[in-house]
Amino acid sequence: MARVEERIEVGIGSSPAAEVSTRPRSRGDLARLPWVSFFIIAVLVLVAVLAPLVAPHSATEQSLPDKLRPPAWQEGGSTKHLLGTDVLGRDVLSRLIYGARVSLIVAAAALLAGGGVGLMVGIVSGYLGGRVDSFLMRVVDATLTFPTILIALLLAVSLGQGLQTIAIAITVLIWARFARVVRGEVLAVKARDFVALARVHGCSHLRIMAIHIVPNVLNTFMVLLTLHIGFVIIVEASLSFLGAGIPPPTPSWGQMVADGRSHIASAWWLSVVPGAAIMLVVLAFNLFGDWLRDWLDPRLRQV
Amino acid sequence: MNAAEPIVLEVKDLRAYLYTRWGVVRAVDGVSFALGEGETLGLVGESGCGKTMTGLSILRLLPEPAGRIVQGQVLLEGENLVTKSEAEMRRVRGRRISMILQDPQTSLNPVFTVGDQLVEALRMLHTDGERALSHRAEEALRRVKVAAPEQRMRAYPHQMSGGMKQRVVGAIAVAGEPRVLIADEPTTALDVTIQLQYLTLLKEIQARTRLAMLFITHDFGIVARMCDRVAVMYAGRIVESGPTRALFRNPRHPYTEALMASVPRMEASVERLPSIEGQPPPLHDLPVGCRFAPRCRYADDRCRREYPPTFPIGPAHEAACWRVEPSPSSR
Amino acid sequence: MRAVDGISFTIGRQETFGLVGESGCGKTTTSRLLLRLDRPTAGRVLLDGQDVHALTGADLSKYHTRVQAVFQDPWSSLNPRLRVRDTIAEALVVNRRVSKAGRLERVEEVLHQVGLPLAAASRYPHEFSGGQRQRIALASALASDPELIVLDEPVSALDVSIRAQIMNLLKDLQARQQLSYLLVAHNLATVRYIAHRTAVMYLGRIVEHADTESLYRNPLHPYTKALFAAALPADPDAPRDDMILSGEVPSPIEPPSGCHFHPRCPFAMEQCSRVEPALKAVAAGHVVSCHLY
Repeated sequence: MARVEERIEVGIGSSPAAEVSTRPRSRGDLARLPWVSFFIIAVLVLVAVLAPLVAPHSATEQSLPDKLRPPAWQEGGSTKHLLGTDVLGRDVLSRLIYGARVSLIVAAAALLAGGGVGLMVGIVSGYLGGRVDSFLMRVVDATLTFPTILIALLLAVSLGQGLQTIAIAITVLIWARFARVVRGEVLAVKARDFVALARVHGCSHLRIMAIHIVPNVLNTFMVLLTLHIGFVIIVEASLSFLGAGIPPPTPSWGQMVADGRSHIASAWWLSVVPGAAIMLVVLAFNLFGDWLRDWLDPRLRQV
Repeated sequence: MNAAEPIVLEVKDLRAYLYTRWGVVRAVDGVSFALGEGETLGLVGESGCGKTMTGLSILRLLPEPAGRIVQGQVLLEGENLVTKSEAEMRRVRGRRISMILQDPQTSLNPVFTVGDQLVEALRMLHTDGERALSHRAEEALRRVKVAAPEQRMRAYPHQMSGGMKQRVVGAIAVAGEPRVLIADEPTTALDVTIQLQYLTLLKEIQARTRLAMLFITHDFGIVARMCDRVAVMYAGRIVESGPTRALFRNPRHPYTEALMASVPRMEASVERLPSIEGQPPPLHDLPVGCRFAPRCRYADDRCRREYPPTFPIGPAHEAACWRVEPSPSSR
Repeated sequence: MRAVDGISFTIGRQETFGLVGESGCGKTTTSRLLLRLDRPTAGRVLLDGQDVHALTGADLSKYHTRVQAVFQDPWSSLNPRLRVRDTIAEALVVNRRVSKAGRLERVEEVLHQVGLPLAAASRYPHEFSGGQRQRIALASALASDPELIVLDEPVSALDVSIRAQIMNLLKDLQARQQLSYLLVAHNLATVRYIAHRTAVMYLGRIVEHADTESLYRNPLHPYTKALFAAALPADPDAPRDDMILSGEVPSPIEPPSGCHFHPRCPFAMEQCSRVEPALKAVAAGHVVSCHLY
């Protein structure tokens, strides 16, 4: 009832009986796309999927005579190893490419599991309310107070190193963040009149959740998912860096940074190249997430 | 117009556009009016007709960065506000022109007491010490008839009813003794009995301070009660304006006429209301010619081709419609 | 808290019953109780003699097709993710009344009834204006061929020039489909235009109740009088017999003793603060709860 701003109605037909016009999608939309993010993400995904085809060398094959070659553009470097080699003579570019695979698999697995659990908990908690809500939210609060890396380290140590462990550890860490945000969104959607009308129509709780609540929190959920890809990649890298991540010789960016640490003075590329890759990819996903949020938010889309 | 009263605010051919993704929204598209001391002008129209944007452009508070004043003048006691700097505008807002918005909830800061907010508003205007300011604030509350002002000073907005909050907003608005008050649907969120209390209060304040009021509303009942003159807006333009009585007795623009006829009456029973079919055109895609033409039952080819100029009808009464064009013989 | 305190009324077939009052008077709670959105702490809501809160199984399903609602804000009452046809057909789908083909046919039928093009069926709500959305909401209420539609402020969120369209549509539909309406509104002119009988509520109680014409011609309860006097007629020369009430509506959590209105009533007598006045018939079909009568 109380509305401060006038609603500027855009894209409406001239009369209820006349043809209903679609909201025009304008030329401005394309120009606002975050092309740089898109490009980086596309390259990352392609490279990860096609790793065996695009990588110039094996990621694990050692070749001691070729060890510590600098990148091609530096003195002593060659085009054979574009980004140089590490202490065991392994090709840095190839390791980077295979490492992208690991990062994406971990991110996908952890986000699917953690996001899925969070979505379900958030919806049940927000929709049912009452004691269920209080209980679930206390669990969420407790989970959020865990020191992230420490718990992941503990899990890694107790479950043993490996891809699954990392995915599980990250799932445990992130589901609560999803649950909390989704619950808030559910509360807002639940208060809208179409949910009351659904009850008037005689819908079951399950149907209301599935048809009226979930689709309306999905936008927020997708944005949250995208914004967490960067976070997950960093956690994975941190765990690998600390030695609790992917066991060698499987390449992982975090591990590469860690391995290169001791040679930073003589062979900078060992740490800097994977470090830069992490930064670039996380930045790309975050920019993409920001854009997605703005794009999906009709309030921001109006102006 | 009350010819005897000196003009306080004059708006000349004001155009304020919003540059959105869908194109240019011509929210205010050539609006002119004048407001005399102690006078109330009602700006009537539907949502999306540009009445709120008119109020906001006068104060240069259009939504950033989409909104821009592209043409026209806003003369406050002869000074053009359109060309003023933001710093200069800050000295105009609240001191010379104030505004009351529809929803008191959003006008008050929930984390400060009412007293704090009043004192803060007063601090910009007076150089008094804390105690004197606090006295002034109490006095201001008393003037808007808030019961027990000493206690109310310490209350937070959420502890007050909507009507009470809107009184506080009013107290803040008139604290700087402005020359002009823009009231944008100030009673829409209030109940009818509270609305009447509030309108009566505004009238009293006006009688005391000779405030010029621009009253933005869509309610003809409020117009009839509050306004000396009325300007009816449709799709970004004023289509008819005149003294309240003349406009109610003899609405000449088809839009005004149809709108008045379509509002149900409290005091008479009708079998069927004549309704206006269709809806206002989107402001980013206006028809050429008269903007009401697609919904107007009198519209002819000329109306659809050419926007009519404003023709005089009676004393200070004018309308932008080809149908009221004086015939050449009578000129 | 007693939002609604011992009220009773009946709505006849093809009749509009108006409930008016200020915010907090309990008119919306009343409608929500009827719609089974809230449960009463005591007392019953009877529809054709059946307690709606005791319904189960097939009876409940039947109830969901018989009673429908249209709410105030068409921006909030349509699920933005559902196509118009799915919104409209919901009551049919849920209560398993018709086949898929029959459903689509019914959707087209009701779209036609509310004056929307058939093409609207496959579109999403954001493509429509407020007035059109309210038509969609109405179509969705009509789909299950209900007997009673609860209209909670059906036009107050709409533009002035659109309101008459919707009010006329409501009247036409009522005549054509023999609908009963429970109209909840604060705008007295709207109620006068649509309602056949009207009850005025104050702090959870009905204080006066009569057929609309006699109520508006001859309001008896001091609160009704004040409420009517506060409505501003759209006429600059209308007589101003202002009866400005002092104070505000007290909190329903702690309503005043006796007659809830006595602290604000200009005619309050000694007994008003002690004895709650009963509803008394003062004329045929005109009841009022006030010690003055």
